[in-house]
Amino acid sequence: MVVWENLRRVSEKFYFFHFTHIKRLSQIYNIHTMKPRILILGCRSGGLVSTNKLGDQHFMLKILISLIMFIFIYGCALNKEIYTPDINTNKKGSSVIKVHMKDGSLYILNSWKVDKNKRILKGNGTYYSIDRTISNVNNFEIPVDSIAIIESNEVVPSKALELLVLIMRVSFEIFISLSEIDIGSCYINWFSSSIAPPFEADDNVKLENGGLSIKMKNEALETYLVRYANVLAVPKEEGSYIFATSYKVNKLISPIQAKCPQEECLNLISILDGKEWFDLSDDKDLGRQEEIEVIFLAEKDKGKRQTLLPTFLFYQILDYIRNGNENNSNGNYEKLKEIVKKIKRIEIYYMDSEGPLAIDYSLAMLGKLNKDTIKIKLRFTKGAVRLDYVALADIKEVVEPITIEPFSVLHNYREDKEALTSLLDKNKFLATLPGDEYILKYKTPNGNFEFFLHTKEWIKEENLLTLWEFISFPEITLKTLAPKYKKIEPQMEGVFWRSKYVSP
Amino acid sequence: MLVLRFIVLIFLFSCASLKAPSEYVPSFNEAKTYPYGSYIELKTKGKSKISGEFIGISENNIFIRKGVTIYFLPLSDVKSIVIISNKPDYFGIRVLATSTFLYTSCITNNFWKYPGYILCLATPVCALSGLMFAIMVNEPVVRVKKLDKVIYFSRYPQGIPEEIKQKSIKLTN
Repeated sequence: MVVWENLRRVSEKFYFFHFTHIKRLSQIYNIHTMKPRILILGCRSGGLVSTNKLGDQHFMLKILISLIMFIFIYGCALNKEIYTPDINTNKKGSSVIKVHMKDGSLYILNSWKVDKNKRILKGNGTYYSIDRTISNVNNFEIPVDSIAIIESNEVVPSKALELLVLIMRVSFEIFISLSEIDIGSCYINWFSSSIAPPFEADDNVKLENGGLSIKMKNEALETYLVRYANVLAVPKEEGSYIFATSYKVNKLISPIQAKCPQEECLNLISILDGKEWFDLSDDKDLGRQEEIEVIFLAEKDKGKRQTLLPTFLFYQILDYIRNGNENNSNGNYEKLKEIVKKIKRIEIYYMDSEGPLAIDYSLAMLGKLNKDTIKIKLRFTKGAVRLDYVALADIKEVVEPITIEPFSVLHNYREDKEALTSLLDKNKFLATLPGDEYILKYKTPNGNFEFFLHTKEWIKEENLLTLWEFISFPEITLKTLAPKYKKIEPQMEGVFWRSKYVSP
Repeated sequence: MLVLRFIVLIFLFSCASLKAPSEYVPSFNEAKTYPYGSYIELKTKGKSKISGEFIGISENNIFIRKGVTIYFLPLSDVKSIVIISNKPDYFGIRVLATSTFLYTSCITNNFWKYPGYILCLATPVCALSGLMFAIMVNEPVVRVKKLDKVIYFSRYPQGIPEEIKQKSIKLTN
């Protein structure tokens, strides 16, 4: 038996850059799809994306720039100047001066003024004798005629240092502005199910004359680069379901009991109806974990051995990430991927297993069942998961999907052959600017099929420094971001639902 | 890794020193109100060295205090003079070291798989930092070419009082 999870959405927390999507396009009567584009809210089918620009949080950059500015301020030198007292004008000053007397003694004055009429220099400071012992600290009136020279030592910016600091800052800023990161893919852990209530076909997906037409619109504020957008067609019979594009399932068993933090959730997660259980994120630490326990009443296997799913399923989600890493030119991709996996992942514990049975994918193999009741524990980051449906499923067989590439692409309702070439050529990509709209057309085979949209895209990311922070100090960053995220979390719920394409 | 960075930071914060006895050289902030002459190092033509507080120049003799004694020797015996007027701005040096370290740390953290990137991005900054270090440390050091400029670093730029001259001892090569 296999544990089947259906995760609809993941709440947005951070910018995320690279998506590999497989989205189910329902049967002819149950067209259920979502816009193939990710809004500013992020990965529609899973992943972490933030609408909250993290530009204010890159403390590493702040530290560096402020330090560089410090150098500008503190890169100083003492400029010694010698002059004779000017008695032609009444002058005063607050800078320190050394008054060398003709007899060899010395006055060091903190503040002073010249009285032209009386020919005296008045000031407050210290008087040193010839052998430089302190004789007096007081206000003095020094006759100008007994002064040999006056010396001042002003702190001035060092010219050489100024120039170097400027070069350093300019270099640094050029580096920042030119850098781009292709971080990696967000992985899919949402599949809509064909047992969902029938939805109305709409403008974004149309079935027409043996073909599919999908509207793809960039509603985000960033440029999206699409590597490919293919349709996967999986043959199926009436009454069966296809999951993870390859597994045909006959029977789904809903849980009989569920224990969720804070509220009753059995009704929410036992039916695939678009009504999800979710929790708000922790207000002090966005990485805090929580658990849900789910109990199923299953049929014991009658001596029949279950075939274990092959290992590739376990790593299915990771494969999406690896596939998305083709063009990675940034070494931090791996690290960011690890961190985001940690935040986003769901651990699945079966019965009383010590460690997780599986981590973070939509299907987890349980193997042969020897008990009537099955207890499953799901562990995940608080506020990062929305759970629509959890079920046990009996896999009938593994099927191979048929990949269908688009045969035509319309851009703003005009045929765009270049866009089509970009999508078909694995070495090219289609760059979509904010507001761009494309219609992709596919020829579908005859028969009963379940359709999935398989895309790969990524965003051009400019918040390099924020990523540095996140990569360098993920735990600290999650705690730092928690209060900020909590402030916008209520609005994000509304924004996300307004962006939802299909409503039951 | 984070701990290691902070340990290195601590060391960076304690770096930078000047090769001069601290009793002769005031700090950057004290220099403005320092009543004594600057620290001077002389190399004579006889290849000997003498250093101490620069007292002054009078009648073609240069006067230097070493300890409690004031010595003088003819200017014609002097081969080179180096004057250190104050300690460098250590705070600025520490700030420079720390910022350079943080910058290169960020670069290596992001591009650890690509040494070429690290080389291109970090090398210019490190080179510049090195230059800045050299400038900041050597800013208070004056290598004398013209004696008329040197006089203003002495204790008595206006001329040495007679009683000081009388106490001084001639230094022989």
